[in-house]
Order: sequence, then C-alpha cells, then structure tokens
Amino acid sequence: MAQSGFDRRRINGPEESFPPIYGDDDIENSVWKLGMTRKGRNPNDIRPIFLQPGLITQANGSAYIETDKTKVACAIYGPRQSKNATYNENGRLNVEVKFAPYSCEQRKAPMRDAEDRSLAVAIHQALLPSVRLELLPKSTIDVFIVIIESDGIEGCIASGSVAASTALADAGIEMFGLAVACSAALVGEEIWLDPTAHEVQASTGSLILSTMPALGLVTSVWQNGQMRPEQVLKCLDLCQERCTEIHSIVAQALLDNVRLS
Amino acid sequence: MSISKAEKSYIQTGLLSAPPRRQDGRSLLDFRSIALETGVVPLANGSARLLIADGTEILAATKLQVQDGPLPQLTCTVTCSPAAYPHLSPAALDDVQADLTALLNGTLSRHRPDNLTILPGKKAWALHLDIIVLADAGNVCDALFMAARAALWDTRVPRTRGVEYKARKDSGFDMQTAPPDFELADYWDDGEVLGGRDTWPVSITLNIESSVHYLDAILQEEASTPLRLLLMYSFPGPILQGMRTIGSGDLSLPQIKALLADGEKYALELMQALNAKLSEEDVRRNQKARDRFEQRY
Repeated sequence: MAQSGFDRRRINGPEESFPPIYGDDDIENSVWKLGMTRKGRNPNDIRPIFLQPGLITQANGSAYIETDKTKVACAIYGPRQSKNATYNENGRLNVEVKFAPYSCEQRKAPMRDAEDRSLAVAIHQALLPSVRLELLPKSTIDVFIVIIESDGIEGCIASGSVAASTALADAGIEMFGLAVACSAALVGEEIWLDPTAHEVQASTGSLILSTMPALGLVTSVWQNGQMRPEQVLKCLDLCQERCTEIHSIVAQALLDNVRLS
Repeated sequence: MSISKAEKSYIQTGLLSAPPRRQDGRSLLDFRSIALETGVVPLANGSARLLIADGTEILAATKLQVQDGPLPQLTCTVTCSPAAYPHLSPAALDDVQADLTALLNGTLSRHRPDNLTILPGKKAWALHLDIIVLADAGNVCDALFMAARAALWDTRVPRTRGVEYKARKDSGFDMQTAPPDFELADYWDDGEVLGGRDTWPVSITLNIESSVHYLDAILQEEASTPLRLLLMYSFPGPILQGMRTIGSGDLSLPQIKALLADGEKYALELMQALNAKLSEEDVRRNQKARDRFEQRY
C-alpha cells in the first residue's frame, strides 16, 4: 500500500491512516433496510442542480455544477494546435478527470489512478458524439474536470458530463446539441434516479444515460451491476425524461450567463 | 489501427449493400471460428487459452491465495502484450489495459462464488483472474469475457478442513470455538469447481453501421465503424450485467431497445456454444485422460 500513490516530492502522510467514523452517520444509514421507501425524496426525483458557466476566467470556457453533495468544476482549453506532429483530419477531445484529495470520505492520494481514467473515459464517451470535431482538423480540445466533492461515481460522471457540455458551449465550440446525463440505480425492485453513493451501494445495478435531448439522440449508455432487460428499458425511459429537464436547466444557465456579460 | 478513407468507405459500402459483403465472406451475424482449450497453465488453479481464427489470442488464468479476513472480491487484471499493439506507445498501451481491466472488473467483481470461504470470517481464498492479450485481430472484448469465463469455469478450489487442537475432555476446559487453522484435505486432489460457475456473463459486441449491426468485427471493420455497443449478459435470466457504448456515433432510444433484444439472442447462442465446448473440455481432461492412462500398455 505504501508504494502505490507514493510521491517522494510531496510530504507524505503516515503509511496507514483511517478516516474518522461519525456515530450519527452510521445510525442514519443502518436504519434504512432493503424494501423501505427512499429517504428524503421520491424515487423519480433528482437532486436540485446549481449550474454556473464561466467561473474560471483564464479558460476558454468553464462551468461549475453542484447537485447536493456532488461538486464538479470543469474548464475547457482550446481548440488549440495538437502537440503531436501527425496530421489528423478530425480534432481530438481530451478529457482529464481529477479527484481533489479531500473529495471523498477516504483521502485520495494526489496521483492519477485507474478510477480517474475510467471516469474520464465515461465522460469522453458522453461528449464525443455531440462535438463537431470534423470542423477542427489538427486541433485538440482539452477538458479538465476537477471533482471537488464526490457523492458516488455515478453522480460524478453524470454531473461531470453536464458541466463539460455546458463549458464546451460556453467556450463557443460547435456542437450538434448539448449533451446531458442522468443516472439511475436499481434498489430492490424500485428505480431511483440520481442516486447518492450510499444508494448505489445498496443497489444491485446502476445505469447512466447521456443524451442530446434537442435531437433525441443517445450519446452514451453506461451500465453496471445486475439488471433484467425490462428494468434496463424502464431506467432508460425514466432517465431520458429527466435529461430533457436537465437540458432546460443547462440552456437557461447559458442564457443567463450571456445576458449578464 | 488507422485505415485510409477509401478503405473505410469500401468496408462501409460492403456492409450496407444487399446482400452484405464482408472482407472474409462472412454474413453480418457470423462469428469467426473460435478455438478454446482449458487447463493450459499448470501452476494456475484454472486457465484457458482462446484463439479467434488464428488472430485474437488470449490467455486467462486464475490463482487462489489464502487471505485473512472475510471473503474478498474477485480481482481481474488485463495485460496487453506490446506485440499485440505494435502501433501504440507504452502510455497508450497502459490506457488500453486500464480500460479493459476496468470493464472486466466492473462486470465480474460483483460475483461472489459461494465456496471460497475457508474459515468463516477468518480466512478465505482470494480469487485473482489474470488475462493476457497476446494478439488482437479484432473483437477483443468478447474474447476477453469468453476466456475469463472459461478460466473461471476451469477453476478448482482445493478442499480444506478446519484443524484445532483440543485439550483432553477431562482437563476441564470447554473448547467450543471455531477451528483456528486449516489444512488441505487431499494434496493430490484438484478440488471442487467454483460455485455458480455457469452464471458468469458473456459479452457480445454489436458493431453499428448506420442501419445495420454486425458481430465479431476484424480490425479494419472496427476502425471503420463509428459505434459499438457492448452488452454483457448472463443466463438464466437473462440478466444484463453491463452495457457500454464506444465510439462517436449516436443512437436513438428505440434503436437501443431493439439492439438489446437482438443482443440477448446472440448472447444466448454464444453462451450455449461456450457451455457445450467447456463441458467437452471437462470430459476430455478427466474421463478421456483417465481412459488413455488405463490403455497405455
């Protein structure tokens, strides 16, 4: 354990450390049992979204999104000339995801790990079909996403995709449509939209749907865990419905931002 | 792999023409022939080697290790031989490995075979699945899951029994605790098969070229197809264990629903074929080997 995530140029913490366990948190979670109704909201409700484009001034485009305990900042640099010399007819979309060390219950060592990579791949896939890369030969668009606070991987991917798409629009990069994403988890026989980390842990399967609601097209489906096909279909329908709502939030946030400046 | 625009267009036109034409003369839903052998790694607890038409070659092996504590998760690791991807830089190769590992881990690590406990709560077998991609001639995902399934099917868990040293009855001590240690019941016996070995999923990759989809793409076809839909199904059920879209193309929701139904059908066929082959391998390695041994004079 000591070797992975070890960087001699940093001040490294003790070899082994444990996050504190808070008493009341434990009680709250242990009360919920499988088969009980969802705490705090209805199964089909998503958490309220706060979205602000253009927070990072030095970037070409940026966005900050907050859904309850998930907080994600995204900055876009580009389109700029690709560093590698090989000619490429299409532009390249480069997505990098970083967890802040204090973003999770357990401290994340400030080094790239496999989880960053899989999140970046998921967000890249959610954005890729929406961006008109064929108009940007020999160029690269860099998408940097920082997860300031995380409440489950699913929420991070969904919020990260929404933030990145908003930031791309803010940067004035041509797209077919805004790509927005919504997650769902199967808890018992119920489908809960926009699940938190605890809810995903209690679930048997989870799904993230990314769509371009303006065109009615799906850009990415990302499913893990065990679900029956009919449950998957139901999840897809519910997520798409919510994506339309999220789309109007994104569009409104972009409009407000333009009016202000 | 990058191919020229002309070749790309040639392949796409072939796939969309009626009847569809593919480079190697297959129809859209034909797989290339698959060769599979289990028990190829003598030091592993289970292993398999899979070959798709002398192209894609995968070696999978499982290893069991005793671990303290409760039942650990299955860990999968995929390593890609640089020889399989000569055009990739070491960094890009690492990314490919990480992606395949994440895909396999995300799908398989939720399964908990029921007979890996040695001493309840104290010791258990940690199951590691290591896969090496020796060559890639297309459709590496489906091959990975097939090889993983074969290796896990082939895995034998050594039989163990708890050991405890009890004080004599008349000493007054009451020893009703669980056994603190274990031993192998039989050194020469391979052991029993993993619990629930027929519930491991198979993967089916649907390559989507505008209105049609096809299976088992070769490298050139993969390079010219805008979108792939990966479906991981397990039976009986069917239960969807994973779904991914890869590529720059897009789909509509009704299209996805139709593809899910189709994928389920193909996955079932693939699963049945794989099960038949695996049972045949079991017979070859046990029954037939024993017969051969008896008739050796």
